[in-house]
Amino acid sequence: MTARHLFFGVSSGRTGTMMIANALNAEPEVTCLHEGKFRHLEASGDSVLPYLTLENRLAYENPAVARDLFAQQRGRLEAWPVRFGRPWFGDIAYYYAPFLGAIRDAYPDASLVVLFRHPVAFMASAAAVHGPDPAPLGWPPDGRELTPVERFVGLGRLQPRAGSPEATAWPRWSYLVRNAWLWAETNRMILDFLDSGPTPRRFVRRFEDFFADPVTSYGHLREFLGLPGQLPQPVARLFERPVNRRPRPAANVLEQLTAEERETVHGLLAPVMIRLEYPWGFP
Amino acid sequence: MGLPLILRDVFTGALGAERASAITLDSTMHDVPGWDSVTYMSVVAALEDVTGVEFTPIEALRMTSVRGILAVLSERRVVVA
Repeated sequence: MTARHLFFGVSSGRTGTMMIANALNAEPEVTCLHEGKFRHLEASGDSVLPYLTLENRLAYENPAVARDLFAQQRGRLEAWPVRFGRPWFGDIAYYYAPFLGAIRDAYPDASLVVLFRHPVAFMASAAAVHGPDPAPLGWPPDGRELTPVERFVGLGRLQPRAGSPEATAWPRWSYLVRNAWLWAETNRMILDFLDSGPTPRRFVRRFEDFFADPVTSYGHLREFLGLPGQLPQPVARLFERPVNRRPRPAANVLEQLTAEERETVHGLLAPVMIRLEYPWGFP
Repeated sequence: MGLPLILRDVFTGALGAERASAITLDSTMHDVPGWDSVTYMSVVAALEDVTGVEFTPIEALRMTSVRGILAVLSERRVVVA
């Protein structure tokens, strides 16, 4: 195995990465983890790599420590394909955005899979869960009681750095505005990295484009990774059953915003949406 | 130097005596069975109760290893023995 067989997936979350990880891991030549562990559809399997749930925020708060944190938790990944007897090895997780520079430094030949999704869909996703969230990602609705796991994940969730104008405004922001900031900041980091050079080999897609024809898109991903042979039919069939799909919220989240919040959200999202060529509004 | 008593007690409460007995100064939550996200939250909360210190989120984020916990406690001038 060479580092060229290593790959990392990154996104803001809610971009279909769980399904893609399931598909890749069903390939006979690939071990693909989701947030450091095996997934069996929505169910979590064995944990293989330490999660970076908390390190995510530490690396964001202090980028100088990102390389050390990454080296501690993701060093010597070349050993894992040998252990699993499959030449390709990857991990897809929302928490890699602050670590992209560290990934490039540690594994310059590794490949990067990047997915983006319209921000209003991201904001709506967090608004769609009313009970305990088994896969917490965005900021939860205001006032909802959280489970210990939700509080743990929330501790590592990005929020504005102390001293920034956004940090000053943060206590006044509703969870919808906070999720707009989270989407914008995560994707800004990813885009800035992609625009900097040199960057690793990358496969970049918008969620909406990938899942308009997921089997064809997945075939393109296989080609990008250099997987041999035709797409196995059992793998293709995985795309017939969505995983981790959220209920669509009853109301358009943009309509839940006050006029002031709408202006704030627009200001947060617009610069990144323009870079991604996303239209404003509810998709 | 062994594990300070205050940590031994906190980990025993969170993990049980058998698992806690395996924890050393070099242990991290990534290599101790049972030191998962729920246990992590319990350990941080128990340390706040025992020390009377309310940790900041950034301090809590660093408490994923025994040495990380000791560093935060030292910075907060909590004496451990």
